[in-house]
Amino acid sequence: MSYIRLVNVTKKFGDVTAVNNLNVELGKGECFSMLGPSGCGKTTTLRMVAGFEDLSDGEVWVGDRLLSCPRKNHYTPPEDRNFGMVFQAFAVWPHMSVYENVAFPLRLRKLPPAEIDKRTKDALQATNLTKAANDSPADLSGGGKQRVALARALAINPDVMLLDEPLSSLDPHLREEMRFELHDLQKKYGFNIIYVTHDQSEAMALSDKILVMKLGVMQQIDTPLNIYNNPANKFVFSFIGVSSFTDVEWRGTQAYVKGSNSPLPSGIIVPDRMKGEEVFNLASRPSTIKFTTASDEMGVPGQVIRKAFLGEIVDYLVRVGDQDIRVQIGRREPGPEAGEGCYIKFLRPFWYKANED
Amino acid sequence: MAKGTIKQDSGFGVAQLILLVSILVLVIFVAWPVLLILFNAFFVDGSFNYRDFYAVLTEPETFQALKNSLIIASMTTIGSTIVGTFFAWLVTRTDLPYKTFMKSLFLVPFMLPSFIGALAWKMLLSPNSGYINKFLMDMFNLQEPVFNIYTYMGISAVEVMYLFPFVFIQVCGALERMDPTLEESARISGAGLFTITRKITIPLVMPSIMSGALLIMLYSMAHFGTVAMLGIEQGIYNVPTLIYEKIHQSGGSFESIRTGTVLATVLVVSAACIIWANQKVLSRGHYQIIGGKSFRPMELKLRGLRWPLLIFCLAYIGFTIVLPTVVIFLVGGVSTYGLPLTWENLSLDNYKYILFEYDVTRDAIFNSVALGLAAALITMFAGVIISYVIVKMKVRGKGILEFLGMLPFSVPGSVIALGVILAWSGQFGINLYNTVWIILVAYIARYMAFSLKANSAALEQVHDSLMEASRSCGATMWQSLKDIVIPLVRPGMISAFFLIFLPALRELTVSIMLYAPTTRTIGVAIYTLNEDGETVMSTALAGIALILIVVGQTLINHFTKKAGE
Amino acid sequence: MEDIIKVEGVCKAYGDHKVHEKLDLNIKKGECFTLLGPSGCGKTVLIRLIAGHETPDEGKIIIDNTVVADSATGEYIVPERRGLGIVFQDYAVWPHMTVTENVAYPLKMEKRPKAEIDQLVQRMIEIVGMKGLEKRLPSELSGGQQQRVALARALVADPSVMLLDEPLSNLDANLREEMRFEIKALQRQFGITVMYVTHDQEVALAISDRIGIMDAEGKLRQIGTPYEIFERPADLFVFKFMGIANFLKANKNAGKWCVGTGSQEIPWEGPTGNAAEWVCGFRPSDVAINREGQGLKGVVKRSNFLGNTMDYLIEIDGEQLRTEVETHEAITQNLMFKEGDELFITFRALHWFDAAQLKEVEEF
Repeated sequence: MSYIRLVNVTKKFGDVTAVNNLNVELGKGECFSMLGPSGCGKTTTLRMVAGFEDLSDGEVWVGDRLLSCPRKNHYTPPEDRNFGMVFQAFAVWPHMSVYENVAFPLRLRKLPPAEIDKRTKDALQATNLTKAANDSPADLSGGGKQRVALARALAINPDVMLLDEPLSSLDPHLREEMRFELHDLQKKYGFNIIYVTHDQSEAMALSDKILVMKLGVMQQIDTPLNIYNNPANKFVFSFIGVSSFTDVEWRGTQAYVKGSNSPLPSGIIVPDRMKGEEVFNLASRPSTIKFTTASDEMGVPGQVIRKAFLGEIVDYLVRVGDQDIRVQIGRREPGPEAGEGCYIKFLRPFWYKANED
Repeated sequence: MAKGTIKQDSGFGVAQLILLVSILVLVIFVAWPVLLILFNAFFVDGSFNYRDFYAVLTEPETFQALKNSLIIASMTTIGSTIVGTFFAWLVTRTDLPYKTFMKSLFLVPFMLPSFIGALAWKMLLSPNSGYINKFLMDMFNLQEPVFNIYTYMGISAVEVMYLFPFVFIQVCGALERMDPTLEESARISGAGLFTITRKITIPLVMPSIMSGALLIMLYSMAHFGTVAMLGIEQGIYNVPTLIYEKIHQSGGSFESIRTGTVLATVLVVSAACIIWANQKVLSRGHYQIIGGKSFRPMELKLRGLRWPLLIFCLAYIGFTIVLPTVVIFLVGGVSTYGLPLTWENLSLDNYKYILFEYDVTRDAIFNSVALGLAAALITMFAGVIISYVIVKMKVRGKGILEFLGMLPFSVPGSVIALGVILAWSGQFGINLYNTVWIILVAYIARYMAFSLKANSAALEQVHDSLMEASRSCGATMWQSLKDIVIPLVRPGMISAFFLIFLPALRELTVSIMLYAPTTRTIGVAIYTLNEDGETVMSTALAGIALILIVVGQTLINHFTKKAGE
Repeated sequence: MEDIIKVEGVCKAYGDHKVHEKLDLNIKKGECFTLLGPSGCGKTVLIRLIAGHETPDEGKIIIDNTVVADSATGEYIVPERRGLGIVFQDYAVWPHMTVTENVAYPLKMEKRPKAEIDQLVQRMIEIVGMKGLEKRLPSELSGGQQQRVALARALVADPSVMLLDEPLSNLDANLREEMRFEIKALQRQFGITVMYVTHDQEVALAISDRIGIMDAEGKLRQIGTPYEIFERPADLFVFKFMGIANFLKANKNAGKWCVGTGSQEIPWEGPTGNAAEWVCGFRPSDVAINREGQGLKGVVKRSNFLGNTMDYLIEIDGEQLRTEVETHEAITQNLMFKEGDELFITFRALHWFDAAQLKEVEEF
């Protein structure tokens, strides 16, 4: 039985459909990320779940509570949803101490003072803020402020934790640290997470399920590994990680990389659905291409036009025909020099129609 | 590479020269007059004498004036703060209809000089002849007038009407810049809109409210026009009006100047305290409340109150702006004050007369325009140079300039006028008294603050690297100034010009202390004509002044919009 | 090759804060030299000293055989006569001038004939890929486009050296990657000397002929080619600064070097030299992991899927290390580990460092 349900959720701003007929079902305690370029509707969806935006159509359910349903004219205001939320810009109240920030939601619930104190202290403890309890949030670093926001959201023991780009205002190394902390807290408290981000590796690392959106339309909803390994379409492929799209064309029954004189080798099998396409794409990621030799039946001849040593990896731009393909190999793997001819091998090619986007 | 060696930090360079000139300008125009006041307040016959200072202060008359200043300023501040905060909240955090339009309407009172407002209210609500009082007495057969504007309450009410935008602007700005997620996070924590307003929104904008309130306090304490128009008849004097009265009546006797310097000292000290408190409030309460993705902030749904509140706002504007303005233009059109305001009694004769025939008003308009232009130009250029030194240059001794640059902000107009009299009436070799030059000198001192503010703000926007880039591209320092810095601060300079020209056009506090029969300004002419019982002429001139101000303001808006594009 | 910039014994302090003390640095003609260091290490101050926006308290700076600043003689050449091109972090394109006017400005200052200016500016605008945008004001350009204008402006007057002060740090990741290759290509095309200042080691590795690593005190720790710096770090600071680094504490147990306080021998040659304590350092790519076989036995404490890579935190006898496996490789070679799985670790490279250095580095 799913715990959170978004049923046919739609949001229109005037003529613009920000979210179009979205259906999501999530189990209890799952971490769910929404991923997409800015303007894809992920933040609007989050705000509809929070109750800050009305729905144009559809229903939002948490457990057996119907929270929003415009058809039944039903709407639970945000303050009655028992959610926690953490925002990108921290949104800690600068006129209250750290302790007061965390205690504020509990005071609103009119709990007995002893319990307020206990739960506040627990939340501060869980976020390593015990020492900073009496500080002003202004004295804390970005990471500290975001911990306060997290503690404040934790204190009420929320059913769902809504996170709106919570890490993108932090330094990269801090971002990673906070990501692990978030993960540990979720394990400990067992709340659901709905997470909005544009950083795909963050979503991958944290989530049980990922939704990829584009222009308000759901593209794929799946586990991180499946999103990466079996992207539903060209958009999902290009959004997750660095990608190269190589134009390929038919000349007779042979497929050629555009501008190339030699056909694709026999080892590369073009799927049947590309038959009849004039031009189509061979999609690859820089890390799933390796250098090989002429004898390899999957080797495609090309020329290295740029080589850059980046430390752990060596970055190449290889020209095949008139197409440029990014290749990255580990620094210990053997590779050609700039200007040299080479053979490359696609370890996991994907095929897309050229006009698909 | 061309080889040219220039020794650095070697003695006296261009930078030092500019610094010195800047310091001299501020000392001569601002610091010296203020020092003379302090000197004259505490030194009698060349020796320090605080007993005299105390004696003057405790004279019943002066003591009463101080008390009055305080009472009126306090009432005005409290009233304006409430009115300003309420309207600011209404136009930023509710679903009031036509919010943007209403917001610009609430800024209109800024344009209306408060002494002209006071003049209008005098005609409407004076106990004997006010139109509203007469109307009500006729209507209900009353023996006594219903309202009396010649009271503390009346004076403060009129000041509130024209000063509340100080708070309104500050609070609107703070509410608009405030990160909406601060309120949203309270909402998701379980707080309703009322709790959020009380516990989150108001505390967060408190520094802005306080800062606006302190500005009003500063302004009202040293404010001449309204009190002079409405108070003197009933013997209500505040500090500036008493200084004026003393000096005016005695023709500038030593005694009166001395009383003046003592009172002015009190003003300077209170102003300094207020400025200090303001800095304190702003720095301590300077919450980082800006940031994040911008969404529309939550709006309180007014529901059934939407239209009634809109009508209330419109009524407020109608009552405080439209009604007084209409009265000014109507009374300016009748031949004798007191005639019923009917079509038969109205004509443009007065306007024709004061514009083309009556030398007092014609001269006054000419004087004000000329003084305004001169003061605005001089102050604009001086301001840009001084700001440049303060914001951009690295020279030793800049600290003095920074301190001096703060001074113009804290010296009230009547103090400047008095200081200018002390400095420029011959004791030190130059006598400008009774000439138009002394007014110009005082205007420069008074409006330097505006110019410094606008120009520093513009210069802060010009990042150092822009200038360094041009140096690296082969431009000398002067070329860089000409090609890069000046074009970029031009909008700031233009806005400084108008920020000075328009207020100067309607200036009263300073000019009233310094005018001679041929050097009246518009403000002085309106005031003195009214004093002399030429109510109709005075009102007609006020009408002309209003037209000038509105035209000028429209030009500003046009220019600043263009510069912003 | 001839040195085009020589910095000799330069000292610079602001009040009590000593930014540089007796700094020496030479930049060769035609090379791309990167000064790499953490923020606040004084790299920008050095650029400003070379550009002439600051003067050294002590020492000498020579550009193209001309002394441009010398504290001893008081000699100082103003910035506009040093013949340098500079690109700033905040672009510093003049907002009131169009693209063309910005790029033409240095030539106008040289009072070149109008026809020549037009031709050079047009060519430069084409080279940086801004054709068609000549009439735009900077406010109508994106960050990347503004930086292209800044590059064109710095290059147009054919400077002897181009100084770049963190020119990419205000750009987003994709653009940053694209622009660094473009800067490198421009440098090759013009054969110009470039001095580049950054805190981003990846950019430094990608574009430089030589890199100088500066620590937070403004001291140069190592100068060398990207490969030397990465593969043969002079000390632990350099090693750590150049990328993700793991450090395992080691103890000597019955003549063998073992991990942490345990008894598993580190499968690598032991350290030589004198140090009270030793740590071994290695990069994630220096680690090979296997389900079974030889090497150090460890446990996966945390397993994270990051898209392109699997990220593992592994514990060996109380010491932790992080490593990454390319996702495709992990799937095809049975290297998808769960938390709690056991595995075996061998090394492809390993550096020994004095443990005292680790403490020093951690204090930053």
